[in-house]
Amino acid sequence: MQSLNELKDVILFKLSYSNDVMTRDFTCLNNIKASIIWIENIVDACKINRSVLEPLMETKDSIKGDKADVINIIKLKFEYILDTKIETDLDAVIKWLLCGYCALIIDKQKEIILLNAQNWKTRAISEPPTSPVFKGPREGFVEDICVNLMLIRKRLMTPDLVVESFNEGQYSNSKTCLIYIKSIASDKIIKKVREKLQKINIDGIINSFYIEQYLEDRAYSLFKQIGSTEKPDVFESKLLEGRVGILVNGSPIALTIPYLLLEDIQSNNDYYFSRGLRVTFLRYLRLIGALFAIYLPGIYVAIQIYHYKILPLKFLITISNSSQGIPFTPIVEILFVIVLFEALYEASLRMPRYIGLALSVVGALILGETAVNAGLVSSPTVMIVAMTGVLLYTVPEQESQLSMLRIIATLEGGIIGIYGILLSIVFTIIYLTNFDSYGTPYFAPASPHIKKDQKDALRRVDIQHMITRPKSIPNKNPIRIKMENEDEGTDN
Amino acid sequence: MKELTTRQSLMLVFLSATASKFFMLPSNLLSKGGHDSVYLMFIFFIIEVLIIMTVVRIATKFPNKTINQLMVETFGNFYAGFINISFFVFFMLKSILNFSETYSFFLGTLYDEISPFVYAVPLFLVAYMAISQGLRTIGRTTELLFFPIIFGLSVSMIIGVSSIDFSNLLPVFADGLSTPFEQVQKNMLWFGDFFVFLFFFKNVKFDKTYCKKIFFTFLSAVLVIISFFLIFHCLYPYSAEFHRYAISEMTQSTPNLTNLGRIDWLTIMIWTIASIIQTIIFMYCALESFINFTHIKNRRLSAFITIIILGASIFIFNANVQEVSLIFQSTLRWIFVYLLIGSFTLLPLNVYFYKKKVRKK
Amino acid sequence: MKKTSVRKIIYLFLLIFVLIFTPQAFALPHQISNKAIILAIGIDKADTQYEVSAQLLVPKNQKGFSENYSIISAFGNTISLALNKLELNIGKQLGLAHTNMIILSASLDEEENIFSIFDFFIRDRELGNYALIMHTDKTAKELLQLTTDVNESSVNSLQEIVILNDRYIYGVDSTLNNFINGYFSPSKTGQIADITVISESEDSTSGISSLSDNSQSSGDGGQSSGNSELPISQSSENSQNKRPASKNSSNTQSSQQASSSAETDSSSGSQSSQTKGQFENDGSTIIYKEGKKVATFNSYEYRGINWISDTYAKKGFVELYDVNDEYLTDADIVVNIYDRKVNKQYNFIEGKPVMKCKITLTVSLKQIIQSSYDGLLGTDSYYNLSNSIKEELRVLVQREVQESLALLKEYNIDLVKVYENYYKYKPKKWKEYLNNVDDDENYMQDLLILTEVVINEFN
Repeated sequence: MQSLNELKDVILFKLSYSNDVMTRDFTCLNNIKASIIWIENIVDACKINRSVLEPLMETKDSIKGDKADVINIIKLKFEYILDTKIETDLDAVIKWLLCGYCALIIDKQKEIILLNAQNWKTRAISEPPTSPVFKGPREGFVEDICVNLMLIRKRLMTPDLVVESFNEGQYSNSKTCLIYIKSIASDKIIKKVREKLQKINIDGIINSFYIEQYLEDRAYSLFKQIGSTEKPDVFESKLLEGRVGILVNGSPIALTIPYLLLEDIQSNNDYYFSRGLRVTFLRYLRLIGALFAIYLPGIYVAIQIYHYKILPLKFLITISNSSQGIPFTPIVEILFVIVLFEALYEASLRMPRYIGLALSVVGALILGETAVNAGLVSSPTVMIVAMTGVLLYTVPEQESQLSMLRIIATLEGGIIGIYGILLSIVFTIIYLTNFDSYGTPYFAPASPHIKKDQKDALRRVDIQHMITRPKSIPNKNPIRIKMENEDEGTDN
Repeated sequence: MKELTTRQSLMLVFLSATASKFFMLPSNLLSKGGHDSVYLMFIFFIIEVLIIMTVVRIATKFPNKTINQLMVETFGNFYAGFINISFFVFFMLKSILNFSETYSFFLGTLYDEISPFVYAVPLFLVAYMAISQGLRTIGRTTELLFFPIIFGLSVSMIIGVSSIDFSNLLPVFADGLSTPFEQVQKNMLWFGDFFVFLFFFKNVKFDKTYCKKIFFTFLSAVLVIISFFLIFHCLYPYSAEFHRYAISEMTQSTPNLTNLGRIDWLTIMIWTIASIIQTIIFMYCALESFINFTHIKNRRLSAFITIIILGASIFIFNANVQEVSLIFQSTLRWIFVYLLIGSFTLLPLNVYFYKKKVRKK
Repeated sequence: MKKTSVRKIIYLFLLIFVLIFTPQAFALPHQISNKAIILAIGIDKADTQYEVSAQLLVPKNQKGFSENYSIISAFGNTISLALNKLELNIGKQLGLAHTNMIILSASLDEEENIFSIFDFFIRDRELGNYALIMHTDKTAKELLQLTTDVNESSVNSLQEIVILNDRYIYGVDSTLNNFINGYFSPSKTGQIADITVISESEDSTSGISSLSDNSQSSGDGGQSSGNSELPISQSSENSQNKRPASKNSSNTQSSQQASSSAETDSSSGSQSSQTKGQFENDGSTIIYKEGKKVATFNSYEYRGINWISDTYAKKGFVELYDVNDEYLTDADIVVNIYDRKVNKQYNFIEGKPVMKCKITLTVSLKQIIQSSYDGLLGTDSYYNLSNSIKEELRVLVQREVQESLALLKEYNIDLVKVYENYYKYKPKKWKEYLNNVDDDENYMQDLLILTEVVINEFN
């Protein structure tokens, strides 16, 4: 049996003698030597003082006899601490120390008592900048998984909510939780996701995107196959539809599986204040906006290079007048403007806030006014690219994909013309129809057409009529609401 | 799980029947045959529909057998191989015709010049992707694009309808049947698109009302085609010969559009996606026939070979639709007749003998 | 062959394709920079040579919207050769996709077959079916020049006037498609609107601003924008012979005109020579049979045909003179036509074709001109059509139809689609009739048209 000091040394050795590993030796219960080890900054020191040291050091009790169960007697002193463990495996002790526990080593005892004194500092719950709402909940996930779990638990107060934990990352040991409602989610999907999570072999998880890449069947593809959200209300609604969710410690982005392309066209605003007709209009607008964002520059380039006949006369005059003296060919001109806009976007993401305004003005002036006046680019080109730049954000979740597709479509329009754009539409659809996100077709419920799901696809009926869960998402319980007479509900 | 849903199969049949009819066929048929050839065509269509309905009925009786399996189990590999080769040649010819026609259409309407190589390679790539993935991919793609395609066609027809003289549909068969009949049978190879349904055996989920649905789909396809032809004739009763690409000429029927440019071409281009899908479905049928008689299990390799054969054939024909259509109007039109009469009349016999064999066993 | 090998070959092919064609695409210029955008073509003939003039769009980098045009011409033995020379002169390919006017000058009136000119245009892939054709008495180049000036001032355009032409009761559908359909129809006829050019050296009181002595109506003419309410004015030319090129006299004395002036001060940014002159659309129509010019009908004569035609021609004014009734004394009445419907029956009586036409007109009273309005104001006759007015109108319509029919028989031209319609509705009897007639090209001679006119008032 190792002595107190020896054990302490081993632990400190395993922790590489880091300067933030603290120890305190003391005597308790009359004559028992003990030592407490903790890692500074991740524990609540007051809690250790109050709940660990005080009860031990101030007690007037003593332990007599060699055969006394010292560990359990001491453990009983920590009635104010919810979570206590007893470990003999030093690796496990190290692991818990790294999780914010403190380790209490008792002389001549092989068991080590681990006490929860976690004190993670996390940022306040606030509205996520990527998902603003007009009228609705403004809570967003944070980096601390515990807070995130709290946000979910307070919304889904059901015993059917299951949280399975994994630790991913050899060095980061990031806590990853698989969350689902067991009476709704498909067992097949749960099993598949669980298996994939268990197979993850990586040194560290920085963000949930790392997990996402492991869970996707085609991680190399431009198109995502797993949904994501920063909002607990959206996460909740997705779980209620039969999806499974994944939270990763250190990331405010929650993942949801399976994923449908339609999800990104819908918005949480659609359910919080707008009427059904308005929502239907907005969804179609987003879809058309996304299509315009991708194909408008390509069509414009194709018309300029191959199909001037399509243009009405007055527009033809405008374009021919404005393109006089432009040194670039149409495709170079439009790619130049697109790249400029993309650079401006990238710079605006990274720039310090205090020069943001200045750079925005410079960007607008350079691109809008000066480049046109200098005869580098024509005003219709700038207008088209700016318009499509705005339209990209009608479906913000797909912004990166749409942006890449826009460039590809522009190249195709320039190389082959409108025929190329048509082929690219067909090609993209053929490519995406092969995507199955965990057995769910990518374009469901449009293709394959699922009639019952149309009530909340591009159109939205009122909430009262959403009696069944979407058939596109495999689930165990297709009925959302039980009617009073216990008949199966009917859908509009 | 079946490859195609009922809805997808109906859409595929509709598109494959209608897509190639609106380019050069109206001008070919109407310039010499007049509107009587359209009425005659309607009668031939009805006969074709009735024949297809028997095929559909047979398909519903054997929901778990492909057409090839049925033929092999009844008549053996040799006969089945022979039919598969015939289908391969037929669908190859259809693909060549389709390719040449759409190439000429693009060249004649939208482009000053476009190299056949530039036209063909991306199309082949798309076709390869689709046919190697299978009928499910093709079906889902069709389902997504169907309504925009129909919208494109509807716009063309509606613009045309606004300024036509319906009296141009008269008189009916006043000059006899010989000239219209000759024109219809010269253009035989533009027909027979319903044959694609043979390759849906086993792949479609047949429900109780499937026969009714497919009948109405066929009928609506026929009605759309006939309506288009008649509207075209009413617009250009005496000058059809000068309007080679009917779908693009339909929308020129009002001078008010002159100042708006040819914005209507954007809707016509949406319609041309149907032609691309039709090429894909024909190549799928050719691929299936190819696999059936060569027994190459690697689907991607078979698809690749099929594409190469198509490319070589197009090169031989020089992608010239005039040449292609002249050849098709002469000797090759009998292939259609052979397939129509030969395959379809043999199919019920096929079933009869198959059932007899099963009973004996 | 393994799966991955096939995929690799395809990726390789795709890569080669992209590598070859992408750099080429980067070098492709605007199509507009290689094309000369032609908006209108004018064709003249001198001896054996055709002179083809084209109105060309000249792009200029200017702030705001501006249209700049120039006229350029070339000679050639055929139209296609002349256009080819034009291309060489301009240094760009001709872009005919936006060509919406083809102007034929009077020098082409002696052409054996005008279709030989159109043959080039209908083969062209770019030119639209509905390009407008018009005929002019002067040179096409002159008319083009006027049109250019007018276009620049954006006040009026010849194209708009001629497009609207076919809606008017005297007007004709003067498009390429209509001409071709007519040429290849059994009647083999075609019609083209005639536009007159009046240059400044001629009587400058013609057209808009002049009112002749015989004028009994006035209108504002001039800067009209070619909309539905046409002014009534009388040109000095017309005041001398009531209907130009007419063989019949009539009571009506005024003609309807739409005209534009191309005064140089009204144009802005004009870059060509300052042409002074006016063009007039007085409703004249040139008639061709088998491609050869056979007649020029004025607006009244063509109106007589339009009363019973199946076209959309229905708008316009009709003038009635010296109308008398309880409240009207020698009044000149102007009636506005809102709608016209025709029901025709094609019959044979004693083996001869008899066409019964029921014409239903929806009209309203537009103007009463008489020396005194005492006793008229406040009566029904002031606001509504009286029976006498209706009767006068009926008589006028019937007479005009018969007069036009006589003209058609005289020139042996079938502008009312007799052959086509009889063939459609009574094919057997029509064939019998043609077999019985001495000359089956002369089938119009025995034609009788019986008209019944119903007048409805528009409220």
